[in-house]
Amino acid sequence: MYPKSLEKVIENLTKLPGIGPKSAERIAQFILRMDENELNDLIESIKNLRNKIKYCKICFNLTENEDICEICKNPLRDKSTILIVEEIKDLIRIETLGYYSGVYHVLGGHISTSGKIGINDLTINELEQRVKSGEIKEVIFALSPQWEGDMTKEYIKKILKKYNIKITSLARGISGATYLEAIDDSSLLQALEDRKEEI
Amino acid sequence: MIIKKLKIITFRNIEELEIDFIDKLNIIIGENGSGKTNILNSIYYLSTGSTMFSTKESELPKFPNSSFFLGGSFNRDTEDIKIEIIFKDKRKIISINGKPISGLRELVGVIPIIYFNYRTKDLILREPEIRRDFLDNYISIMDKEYKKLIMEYQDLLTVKNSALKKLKDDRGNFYYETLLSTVNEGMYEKGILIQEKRDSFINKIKEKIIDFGFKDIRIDYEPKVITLQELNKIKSDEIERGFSLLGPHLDDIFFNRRGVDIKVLLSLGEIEELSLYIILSLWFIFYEKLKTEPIFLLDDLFETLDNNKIENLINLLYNLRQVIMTSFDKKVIPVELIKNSSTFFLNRI
Repeated sequence: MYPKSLEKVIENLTKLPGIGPKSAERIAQFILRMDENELNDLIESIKNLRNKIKYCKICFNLTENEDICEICKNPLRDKSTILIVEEIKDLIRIETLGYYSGVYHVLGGHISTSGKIGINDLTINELEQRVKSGEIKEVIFALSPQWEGDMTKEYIKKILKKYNIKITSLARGISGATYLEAIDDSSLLQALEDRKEEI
Repeated sequence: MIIKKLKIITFRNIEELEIDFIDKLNIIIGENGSGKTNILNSIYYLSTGSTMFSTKESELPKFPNSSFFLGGSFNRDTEDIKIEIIFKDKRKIISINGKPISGLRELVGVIPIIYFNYRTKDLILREPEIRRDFLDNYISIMDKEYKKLIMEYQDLLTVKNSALKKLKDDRGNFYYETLLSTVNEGMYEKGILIQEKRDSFINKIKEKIIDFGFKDIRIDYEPKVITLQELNKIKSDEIERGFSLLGPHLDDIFFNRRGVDIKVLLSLGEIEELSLYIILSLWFIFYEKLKTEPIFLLDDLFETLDNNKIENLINLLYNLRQVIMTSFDKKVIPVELIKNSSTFFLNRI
């Protein structure tokens, strides 16, 4: 048995995604041996994360100390095209291609599996408001190619049907990958270029 | 497929146990409460990742809020397969040959297994839910696609029921109406596939049961067939009730003789015998599909069937690859069977 305060750190670390008891033990041991300044830096940066990082009021990307994110603020981005993703990491993935020049909308997940995420937990209303404003010409779906992503897409398509916009989806069948992050650059670029109009 | 070695640590009423099994017949003898059924349950759990009697997983460790370990060494042709389950901190980790799996679907079909016990007759006697569970559990053992469909369908059903409840309080809400129609389309697509697979599975059982000599018993699948038109028709009824009224989650099987429910025609003993042969039919269905012999678990067979019926069965059992059976008393087991098997005695715990 470790001393109580070390046990506590291990217990808290196991609450993080992807961290099992063994990893937590290793990380806790590492923290124990860390240089004091480095440790303070780590603690400070984690605290700042919660205080300084906010969600963009338009697209729900992350911003630092601002209400609107860098992408939505950028006058060179095409505000009439919205690419819809489930998570911020998907947005980052597309951005790394350096190809897409429109703006984004981060849903915050997909309609769930086991009913835990309902339509009100996602930013679908906010998306509809953006489309309703009339400036939007095209929305592109880049949701996870699994049935939950498909169902969420079908639902949003029905919601947006009454607005006169073009609705497209990333091309499929590019690779066996189930998430955007697992698809290689050239295939993802191809999928974006070959996007298909939804009926 | 055979199990060669089983290791159990603090699972149900068993403290620690290690057993080596032989190819062919294995008989575990012990009084009630000695843990013999839990040995069979642990083999079933290793092969499916689910408990047999929908026991809560938190109730599986011997001591409350504690852990358990199950390990099985299996053999298929020349291939050795090791499956381990560690349950700790309310979480289970299943590994195949030392590699943790990411979902139960990876376990599907690896260790085909069939299980007969005193509850198998409920398949005929009790509510439709038991018959649906029977279909889902056993079709899942041999068909990964089915397991996926069922899990997705259940998720859709949960979403649908929550949408129906919202609509009950807020009639005509555009967003929930839209969600409902989206979910209905998904359930329709998956429902058809589920019912096709169930239909073909039941047909195979039917054929085998006739081969076994139950010529006048009919096993009729009664699917609650989904169509989009029908779903539209019953929509307001579903909203009123707050739950879904159509789809494979309401399917049933009707066991009958010339249209008359066999519950009223057969004695309890005859129903138990029929349910045993239904399980036995799965042996052949799995073998055909998976090209490996399922492990056959038989709990308290000698207490269930009378002697002349057991004799008919014994010849069949000899021809199966591996059978693991239990009994509370050596005296009720035919001598010939004891001679040709590996026998274990368990002491009361």
